[in-house]
Amino acid sequence: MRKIQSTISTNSPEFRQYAEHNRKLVGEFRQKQEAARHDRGQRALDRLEKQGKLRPRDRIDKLLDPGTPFLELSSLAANRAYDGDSPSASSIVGIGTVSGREVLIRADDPTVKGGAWYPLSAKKIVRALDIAIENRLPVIHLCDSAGGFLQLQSEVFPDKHMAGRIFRNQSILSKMGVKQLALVFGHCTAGGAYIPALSDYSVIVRGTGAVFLGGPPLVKAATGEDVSVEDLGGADMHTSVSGTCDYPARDEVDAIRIGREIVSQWERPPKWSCQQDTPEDPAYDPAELYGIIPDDIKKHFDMREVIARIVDGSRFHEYQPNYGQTLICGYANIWGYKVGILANNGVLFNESSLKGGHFIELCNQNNTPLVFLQNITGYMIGRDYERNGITKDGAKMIMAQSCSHVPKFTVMCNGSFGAGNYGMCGRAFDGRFLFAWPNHQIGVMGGDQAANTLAEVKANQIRRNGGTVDEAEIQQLWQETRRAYEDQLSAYHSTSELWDDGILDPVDTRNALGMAISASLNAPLQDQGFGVFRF
Amino acid sequence: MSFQIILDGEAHEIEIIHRRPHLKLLIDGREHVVEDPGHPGDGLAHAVIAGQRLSLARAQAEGGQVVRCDGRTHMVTLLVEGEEADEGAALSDLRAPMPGTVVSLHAQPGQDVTAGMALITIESMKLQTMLAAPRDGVVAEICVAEGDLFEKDQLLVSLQKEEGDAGDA
Amino acid sequence: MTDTADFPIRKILVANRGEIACRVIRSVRAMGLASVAVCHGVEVGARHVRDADEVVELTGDTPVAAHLDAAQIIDAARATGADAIHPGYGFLSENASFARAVQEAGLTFIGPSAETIALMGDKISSRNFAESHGVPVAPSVLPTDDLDAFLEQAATIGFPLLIKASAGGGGKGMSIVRAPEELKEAARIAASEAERYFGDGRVYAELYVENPRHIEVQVLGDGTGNVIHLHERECSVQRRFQKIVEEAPSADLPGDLAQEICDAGARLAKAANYLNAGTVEFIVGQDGRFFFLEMNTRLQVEHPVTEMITGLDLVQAQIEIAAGCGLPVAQEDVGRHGHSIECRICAENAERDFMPETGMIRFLNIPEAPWLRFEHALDAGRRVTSDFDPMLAKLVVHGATRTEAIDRAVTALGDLAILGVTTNTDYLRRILETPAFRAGQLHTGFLTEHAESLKPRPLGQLEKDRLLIAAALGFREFRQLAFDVPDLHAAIGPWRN
Repeated sequence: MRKIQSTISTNSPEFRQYAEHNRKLVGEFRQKQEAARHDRGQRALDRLEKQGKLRPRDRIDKLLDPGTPFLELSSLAANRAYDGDSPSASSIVGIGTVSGREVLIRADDPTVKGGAWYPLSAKKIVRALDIAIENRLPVIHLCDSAGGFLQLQSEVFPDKHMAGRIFRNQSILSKMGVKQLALVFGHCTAGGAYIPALSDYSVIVRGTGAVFLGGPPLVKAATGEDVSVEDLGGADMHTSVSGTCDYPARDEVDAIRIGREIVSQWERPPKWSCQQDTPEDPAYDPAELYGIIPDDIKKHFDMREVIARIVDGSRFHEYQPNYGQTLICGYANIWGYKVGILANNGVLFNESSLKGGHFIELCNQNNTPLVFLQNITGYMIGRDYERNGITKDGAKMIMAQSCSHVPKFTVMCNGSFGAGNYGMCGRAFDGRFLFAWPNHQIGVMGGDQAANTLAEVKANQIRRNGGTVDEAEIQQLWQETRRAYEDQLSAYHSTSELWDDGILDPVDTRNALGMAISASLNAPLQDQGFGVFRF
Repeated sequence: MSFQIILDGEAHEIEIIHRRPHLKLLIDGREHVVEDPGHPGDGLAHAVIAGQRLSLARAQAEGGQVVRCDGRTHMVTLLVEGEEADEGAALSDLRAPMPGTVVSLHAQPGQDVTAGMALITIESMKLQTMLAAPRDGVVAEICVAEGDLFEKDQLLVSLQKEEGDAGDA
Repeated sequence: MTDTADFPIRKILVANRGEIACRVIRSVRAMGLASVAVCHGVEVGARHVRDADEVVELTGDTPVAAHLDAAQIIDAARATGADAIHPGYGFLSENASFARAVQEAGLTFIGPSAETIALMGDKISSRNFAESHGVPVAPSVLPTDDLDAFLEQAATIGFPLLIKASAGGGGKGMSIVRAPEELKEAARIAASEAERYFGDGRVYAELYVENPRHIEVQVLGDGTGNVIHLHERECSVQRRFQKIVEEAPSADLPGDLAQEICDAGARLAKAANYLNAGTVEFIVGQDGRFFFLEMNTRLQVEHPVTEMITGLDLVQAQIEIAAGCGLPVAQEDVGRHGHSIECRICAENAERDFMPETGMIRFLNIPEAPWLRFEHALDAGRRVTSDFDPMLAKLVVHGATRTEAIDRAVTALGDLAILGVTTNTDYLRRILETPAFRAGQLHTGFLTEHAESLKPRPLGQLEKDRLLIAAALGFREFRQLAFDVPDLHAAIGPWRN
């Protein structure tokens, strides 16, 4: 494999201008993330300290093997919901190693509304357990939640992918032989009580941990029975009388120690062995990505420059370099793992679609995981292209991609518009992990096009009703429409709604992909096979 | 997750901060690199630590490890964070684990007992079992006599409450 | 190897245990003779038992009592057909009635006659004997039943005075009196200790020589007045009146003084028609005056240093003398090559007043070198108990010069590892590294004088950190945490997104 020869000049005014722009974006992202992680009311923190509890992120740090990475997922979930009352959707999810085992950690956040689950909390937890199921990752639950957020119960409780799905997923995981451990630091009330109950192992902290379907006030209201927390669902009761929990712990640190010891008993099922090489840092500094991504989504850039700053040694074996050049396809290694990369370098034409579909089939034939680097405005439209079957060619690519049996990973690098999102493994296509950069935008069409279309529709409406629209009015309408629309295109909106697994600082892409690929290898490959391709 | 290591009675914090290309550790906040960790287990080992080759002999012993290095012998103990004897559950009451008969009594009210000391032998399901004191303390009351029948959870022996117990509800 | 065909001794029972039993058995085997070990039940499977051709288990209330049971041991020799008994040191080695009983049982006692043992075993009779044969003795007062008279006479010698148990040894019942008013009480205590340890409450007093050196002479006699000496040994480094570092020849003793002392030792042995191996001990004052201390009628713990410089095998010599073969060499042929040092490795805590220690030996590393002898009976997995003396082993080195011998001993002590029981190994090393020791400025108060500089040096920060890391790496939990992490995660390190 040859090293990609970068043509970027890091001294050019353009590079500096882009770098300044992107560093500002990343700065904003880091700020939002920092706030979601750490900005809490003093009262909540004081209460935690008084109870002898650790903050949820400190619990995770103590649980993880020291000196190892933690890939946090969806750190900005719910950042645009509930007036910001549920940072990170009140739940921390990530992947790391505990006692040398790759695990998914899911922690309630008792510093926000007592750890109550908002609708997006449930969505985040369900997604976390889907990740565990898809990648056969053992799960460690750090439980400390008051239960569902009652005011929004209709959005938490009834539907298929709401809270009930958490317990369904837990059951399925256990059936699959994927271990779960619950460390009960605080209350597990109502539905939350099933988390330890459905975990294969559970540890409960004496004094602060409690598990019950209905807490003392509910019991009092329902039956008139007066009962203390300890008596109703405390550590000693559950570990010596009911058998709902397995191990009592003296305090949180003790619970973590016991938990780590439990995990160290677990088998390490063999991973499927994709091709691997000795890892090598990229030859080009990943921080140069800031100067490569333009300051305007409409400006073009060469995705090879991005690949060169993510893959091992910046080495890339490009497939069909002269055909369908708007889609770059080829092999590379990320942290040693062999991957097939598909990266947009312009609009998808017939040739690029066919090339992409073919390359996806090659990677399936070769058991090579797929990495999609999206920067796509869509498939080409117009008379000639339709006559040439652009739709059926795009369908071939979607078919090949959807039916792939190898794990898929998507990074939203700049833009994702229209059906290009589908062909390039958008959220709907069950990629194992999907990350977005802070500059990224996603939608059926771009802001300008949407504004044009919507402003045109509105103007036509007014005209049909006999009114007149002057140019200034149209301009104002256009601006308003565009602003509202672009707000929805923003990566912060997507990530708030959990349309991805989190926003990444571009320089973190390589590590995130490395950990994601490593996690994905825990699940055996699916059966091979495709549907009917329309030729 | 961190460790405390006790060398000749003096406690130190030891943390792992990195593993590649070499293991990197913090000892009480000071960073050191382990170029070669040497062989594990008892016996002679050679390790390269913080730029120097060390020859050492080690053996696991009661309560830790004896290490001999540079002509000096040291006693070392490792404590995992959170590891301590768990005494929280020690109770004052000795209750019957199952229905049965009292075979013999081994203590009297007012007697000093230590945790694990035999207090009473019972027979149940044709099997004799010795029940031991759950903690150090003084026997407050023996509630059964030899030959008595008892039910599951029946109080057999109680120890005098300790000062801390008074506040517990 | 001895020509066994006409050698009168065929099988030797070794009435001892530990390193000395192993040491004796080694020579017995080398001579082509058979060996019988004795042991108490707690010693079954011990090294001296494994080394011997046969073993007889002794019974007794305590393991020590078993080894002191003369009748059982003689019965064991008879039962196994042994024709000689080697007593080693300690236990029954200086017990005249045992030596007599052995002879009366028709067996050969490898040592002097019972009469010589009795003569030399008594402080007073041995002292009188020495004095009468021109061997210098310290001014002293013999015990009488009249304590007041004893005290009055003692006071005439002057102070400081040493009060000793007449029957004793090893520092028991010994005290230094510096002023007349302390004398009475000291004598009373010494008498009661002597009564308790030796069943003989007689004490005597003699001039106390301040900061003396302890010099002793190894002699061999054939029992008919032929005696040779094998040069002197220096045993000045002592703790609690017991030797822990010995060397041969003495460190820096003027040549003619050493010769004078050796001659005096040989003269005494000759006068006694001494048979077999013995040691005549002297104290040497700072002024060069020397006085007879006592004679040990047995093989000494520190005999290897003499072997190292003379090239002789003292145990073999003992057996040959006992067999009537006479002395191994003529006086003029006794060699004297280089310098040898012995360090006694004891299970004791030098930082806690040499308190004896016990424990399971978990790991044993014994250094090896052509210039090194490690005399021991240790086994990894065996427990060191308080049943016996805390001396575990002897590390003996040879060098062309005293300096080389010291350097070698320091190296060997550093490499020696006896893990699981606290020993004085590091303390011994510190002794040898003391400048005053290197300079040969020795006296029996050496360890007290240098107590401060003999304390362990505090570890440097980096040194301590390295040690902590090395120790941590020996714990399974730590090693697992350090090395049992998937490659990728280890490579990425503590990254957070």
